[in-house]
Amino acid sequence: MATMSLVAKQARNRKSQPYNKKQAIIQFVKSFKHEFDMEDDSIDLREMSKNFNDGPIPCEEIHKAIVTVLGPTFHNITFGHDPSGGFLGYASGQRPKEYFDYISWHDLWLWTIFQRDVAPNHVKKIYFDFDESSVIVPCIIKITLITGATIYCVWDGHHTVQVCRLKGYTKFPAWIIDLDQFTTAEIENAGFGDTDEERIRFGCYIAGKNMRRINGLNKRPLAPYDDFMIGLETLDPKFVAMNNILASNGCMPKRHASCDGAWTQIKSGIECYDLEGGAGPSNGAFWSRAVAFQRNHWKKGHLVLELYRPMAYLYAWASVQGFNIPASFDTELAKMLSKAYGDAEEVQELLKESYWSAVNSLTIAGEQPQHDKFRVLNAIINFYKQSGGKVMLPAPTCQWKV
Amino acid sequence: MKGQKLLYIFKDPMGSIDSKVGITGNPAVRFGVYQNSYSRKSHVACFDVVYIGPARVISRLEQAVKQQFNWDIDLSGAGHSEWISQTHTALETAIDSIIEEWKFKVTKVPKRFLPLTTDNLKDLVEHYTVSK
Repeated sequence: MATMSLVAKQARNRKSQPYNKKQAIIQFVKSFKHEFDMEDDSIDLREMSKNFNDGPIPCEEIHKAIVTVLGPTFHNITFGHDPSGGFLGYASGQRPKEYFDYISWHDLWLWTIFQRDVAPNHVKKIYFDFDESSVIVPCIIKITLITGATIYCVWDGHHTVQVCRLKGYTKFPAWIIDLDQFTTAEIENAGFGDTDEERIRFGCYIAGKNMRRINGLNKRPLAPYDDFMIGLETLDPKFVAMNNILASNGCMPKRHASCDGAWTQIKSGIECYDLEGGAGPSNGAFWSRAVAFQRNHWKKGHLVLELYRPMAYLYAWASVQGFNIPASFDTELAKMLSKAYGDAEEVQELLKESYWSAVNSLTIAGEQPQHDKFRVLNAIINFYKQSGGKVMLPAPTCQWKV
Repeated sequence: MKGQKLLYIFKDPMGSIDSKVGITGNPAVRFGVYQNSYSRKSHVACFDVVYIGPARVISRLEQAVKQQFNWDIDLSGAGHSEWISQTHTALETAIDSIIEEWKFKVTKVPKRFLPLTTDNLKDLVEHYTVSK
């Protein structure tokens, strides 16, 4: 009896053991020499690749990382399905339901019930950025109409097709779903009848559902971070220059502010890099100084957007107004700010709070900025002057007691 | 203590080198939680090192500490216990350095209040309420 009771207890314990995702991730990462972050929304593949001599990573290794994050539901899934003979099912003696082909221009159609309107400006954008090696194969459904005519209807990649037409293509690469290869039973199982009209409705249903899946439901836009990193690693000159500025200040682009020196606000950084001064484009000079302003005085922590951005604008404003702010100002201001407010994040939080407090108590004079970068910028100028600073700065656009 | 929080470190009362780092705005309740796990006759729940500051700043300080010790934090077991595989003195030195480098505006609680327990908590609260 005692033995039986013990066995029963063990079984209960095993059943109630929850999946500890964080611990599983730590164990997985520790199996590599070089550690990397693994989160639901991103696995840091660039850091992971350091375990593979900074080169390509086997997809199987990435797969293992993914299922570690996803949990036990995705463990032990059968791995043995070869779809190369036709993944939609294949009947002996028949053509597969899906295949690659080149389609003539006059056989291509667009059926609006499963396609969106066309955007000429998007066609133009692709046209001017066109490269033969970048054509993604459009998806098409082949439908035989009741009249007996066969048409090839684009359900994804219509803009690409139109750009190729502008480029003079007469035949178009296409990944085709062939409606004629579906059996009546398959169509009926999907809830449609056995008439020709129902077959066409079924084809439209597939195309429409897939169009929405690909362009709406499951679309993952390119994040600014990924865009920057791909640009950087493929040697886009601007991104290389930006990265040099970051590196010289002990910073690096990151998806999350999860480490010292992390720079995460990609678009805002580009905005600062592009600021113009009195002599034209700054080529990052104001941004570089603003990043250094934070890093030289707050030695640790991620880059704080509403500290480096207002500072970049401050330098730009001064330059446009025909004067330069001396380097000694940066040290003086940073000491004042850190003494009054502490860490870099707290500096911008408290400056913004000061602004809103003045707004709410109606003690602010001048035009109220519509954006945090200008609220903090005005706060910095007011704060510096009220703290006894002597260096000439651009005049604030609004005043209050910071 | 209104609007203030504590960041605390204490060593494993069972004797391993591990230490616990946490934050609280209500230390009396937190002591109760820890004390529930063992008798006061064996060990009085206490904080060996304490920092005090505005809640928002203390939260960021905790984040910075956990960021630095990311891979030393043991998340095994029920409730993600989050013990850090470091001695409390090593952690104290590291946190002092984090505060200096990030310029967190927090105050290190003087040794005369340490170790902090439910017995001397009132003194600390009074001290910081008055001095604030």
